[in-house]
Amino acid sequence: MDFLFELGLEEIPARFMNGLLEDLQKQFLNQLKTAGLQCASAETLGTYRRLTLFVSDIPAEKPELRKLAKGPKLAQAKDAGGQWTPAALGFAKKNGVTYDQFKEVDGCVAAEVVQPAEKTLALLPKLIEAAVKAMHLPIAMYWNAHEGPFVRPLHWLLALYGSDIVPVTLFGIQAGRETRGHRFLSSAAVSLSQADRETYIRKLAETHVLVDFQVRWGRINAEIQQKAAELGAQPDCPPALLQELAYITEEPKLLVASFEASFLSVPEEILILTMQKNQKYVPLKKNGRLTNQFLVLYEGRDAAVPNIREGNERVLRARLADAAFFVAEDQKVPLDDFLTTLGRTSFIEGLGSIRQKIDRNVALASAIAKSLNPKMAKEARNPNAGFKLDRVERVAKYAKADLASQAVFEFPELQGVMGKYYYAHQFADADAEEMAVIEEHWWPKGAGAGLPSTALGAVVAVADKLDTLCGCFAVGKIPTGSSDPYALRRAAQAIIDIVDTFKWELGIAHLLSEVKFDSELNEKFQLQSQNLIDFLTQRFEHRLKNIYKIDHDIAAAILVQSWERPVYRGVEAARALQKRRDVSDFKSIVKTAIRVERITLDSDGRPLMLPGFVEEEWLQEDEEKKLWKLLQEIKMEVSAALANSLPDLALDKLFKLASPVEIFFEKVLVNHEDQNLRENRIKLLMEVRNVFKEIADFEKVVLPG
Amino acid sequence: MDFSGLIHTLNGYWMERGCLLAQPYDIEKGAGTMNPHTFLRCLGPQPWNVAYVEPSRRPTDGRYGENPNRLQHYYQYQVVLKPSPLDIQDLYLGSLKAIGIDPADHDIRFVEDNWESPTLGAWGVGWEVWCDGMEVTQFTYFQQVGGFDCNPVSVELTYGLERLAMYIQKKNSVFDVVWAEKPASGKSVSYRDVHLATEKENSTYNFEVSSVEYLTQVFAGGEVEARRCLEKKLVHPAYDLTLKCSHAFNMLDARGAVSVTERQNYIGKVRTLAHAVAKLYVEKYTQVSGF
Repeated sequence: MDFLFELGLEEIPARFMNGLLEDLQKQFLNQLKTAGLQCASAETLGTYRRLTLFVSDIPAEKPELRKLAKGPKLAQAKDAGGQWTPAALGFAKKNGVTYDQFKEVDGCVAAEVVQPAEKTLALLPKLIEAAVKAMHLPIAMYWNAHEGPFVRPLHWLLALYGSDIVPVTLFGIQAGRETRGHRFLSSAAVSLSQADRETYIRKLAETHVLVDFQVRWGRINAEIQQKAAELGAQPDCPPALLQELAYITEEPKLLVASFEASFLSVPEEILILTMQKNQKYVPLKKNGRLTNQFLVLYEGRDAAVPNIREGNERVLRARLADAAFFVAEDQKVPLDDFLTTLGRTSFIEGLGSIRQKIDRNVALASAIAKSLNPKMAKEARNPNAGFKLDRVERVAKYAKADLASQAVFEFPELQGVMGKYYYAHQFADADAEEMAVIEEHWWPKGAGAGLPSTALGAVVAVADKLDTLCGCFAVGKIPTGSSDPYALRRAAQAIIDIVDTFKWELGIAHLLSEVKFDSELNEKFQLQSQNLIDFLTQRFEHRLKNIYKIDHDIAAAILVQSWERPVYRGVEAARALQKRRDVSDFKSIVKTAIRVERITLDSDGRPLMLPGFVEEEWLQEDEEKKLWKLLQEIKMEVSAALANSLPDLALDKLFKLASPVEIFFEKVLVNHEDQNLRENRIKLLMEVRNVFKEIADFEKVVLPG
Repeated sequence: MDFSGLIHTLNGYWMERGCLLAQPYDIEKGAGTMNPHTFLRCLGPQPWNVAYVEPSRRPTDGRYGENPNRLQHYYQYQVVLKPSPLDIQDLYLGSLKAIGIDPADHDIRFVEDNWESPTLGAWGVGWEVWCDGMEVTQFTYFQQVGGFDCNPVSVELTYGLERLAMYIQKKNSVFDVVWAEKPASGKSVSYRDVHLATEKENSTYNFEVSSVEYLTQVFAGGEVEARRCLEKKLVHPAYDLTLKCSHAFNMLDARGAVSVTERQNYIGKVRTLAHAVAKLYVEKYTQVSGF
């Protein structure tokens, strides 16, 4: 038989609905399973006023269960006088048996325990109570004479098993066969004769309640599309807003409303945010630009539509007037005044004011731009190509000025967006790239979200994040476990993602060397440099594995070098290696690398320190002479290939070393008794090792078998 | 319905439903919750049902009377029912109907909004009630007050009187709201007549003229005095002084004289006082009669 259960509540917050429904189902099915009952399927339905669970085909009776329970060892079950001990008594009580039912199994006391058959209807109240009690409450409240806790006060309970009411009481409310329709659009109670899903859905629909989330979602989505199409417009309705809309209504309808077109001169982001976030409206766009029409989700009679439209328009008008007022007031303030205000606002404890943070950002962005410029000039074959430092400094200086603005105080999400407009308002020569930098230096906004779109944006974004990261490490605010209150992992990830994407010719170590703090803080920062390298290297590893699907061992082979080498070059090398990991040449080069590595390390695993270079006069055997000659060529070829971003070619060249090295090992005795010969041969192998390390620590690669 | 009529109707509605009609409390405060009829009476086991208008001051919200929607001084209509009746939503909707907002003709929704007052050590869960997209009431089940669990639970309804009046009278500016109209002559007084001057002058005072030194003294002196009262087990004077500290802090804030770190410090001091007052009230007034 089927089971239908509905908790009738006061308005449940939309953001909790999915979780609550999932959890209700999970907890109930848990209870069912523990009780030894099965079911065919389970499903949840729900609106802001009801959490509903439908479970099909629960058998009418839980069958009798017999099982052998094992207890304490015989030696512990009886004392010296042959009397049963407390351990035996405990076992008997726990299993509801008496001493005469005891058996002996494997030297232990045992008993056959019988769980008698039970009617499901009689069991269900306990299961429901336990399931509801076990639910995780994202917000727990009490009401009335301290009834609760639950997410909202309970008003009715519908609990039917087949055609029977399940006699359960929760929070003082007794279950029945009644549910309720829409709060305002229907007054009659809805009575159900049995736990029938279709009847339940249909009867609620008749009383203006669409109880299935999917149905409401689909209807809202369709109506948004249709209404927008009728107006020749495109809706701006992010998925999260659509989901929320589907949970704040029992019977969704949409109406078109409008605001005075004069508001369209206000930056549209603030208008859109006001509509979407504060009022849950769907803004409409034409050709990518905001229009003065919007869609309002409502519940109500047709006759109420004029009231509802007028009321919503009035509210929005007041809110937009507020927004326009903030923007107008903000634009009266010179950006330098904002910076002065930010001099009084603390950034992070120990790291000064936001103004001081901005000053550090400017210096760091400028230093990074200077380091990047020669390469950019070279690539463009134009000595003047690269960043214009005065622009870098100006945009970095004002990128956060809007933090002191009224608009951003009201709408923190608009940091950078409002700044972009205020910057253009103050500087007539501001170009589109600079405006984009102001907005995008905060990016990415979340994991996987977009990176700054311009090269200049990349510089300012990295400088900002790098300063925060290094500053926090310097003052001891270092993430531990799951605690990362300053989102430093995200900042470090963003740095790695950006410098890779923009192919910066700077390694992590170089970036860190550009960071400067005031004297005392700078010392603390220097003490953290290895920690910072490790922290950034972890994020690089994360990127290699998750974005480029690089195997763990190949990532490890790349990472040791990665703090000197530009990140993107590390990526190139990793991808080239990954591609070839199953090729036989690759296996032999790894084996060779391992062999070379072993012989060039001391007993503590550190590279041997031998003064001087390979001396040609000490090269005696043909094989070592040949290897030395070949090595010189390959070393140059590998370097040239890598410098030209041709890691595959570099590997091809490198692979040519494998067989001569193996022959060297076969024919030449490294451990020669003559110290000069011996050391010269080791130095030769160290040169080989250095060429390998240009690409990776091959010995870290794990070979199958 | 004019502004007077709105208040009169709500008074009548809640009086008929068993509420004591109380009067505003004579100390500046940020919200009706701070009136001892709410803050103190929500503590302890006795039932309590009360309704009153509370003038509320939010110095930072002043706009010199130039913004049609923002005021540094406004009126809340406050209803507290303890324990919260199960049919409180229906009772509330009945009050909307009484002032001319019939849910059948509008779109009424309960939109999640949890309330917290760090200075009072109080929090609750509930909604803001929207009428056709406009917030008209704050609806809160108190969970803690002064750091104490509420048992039984009180429900607080806070109507924004100006917003309701603007809505009912279809005005775009609060200053256009009709405060009272003489039935015989039709002569009327507007919100502008009553409050434009106070908004202008108080905005000037709050933002430009008030003395940081004086306000700092008020806070510091109030804190010391409140402690003395607490030592003498004088709950109500101690609470009055706590309210004075709280208002002095709000004034300092409007003056831009409170840094981020100092803010936490000030709030912490007021909360400590509020907690001590609540504790003393619960200990001392075990036999207070409810209503």
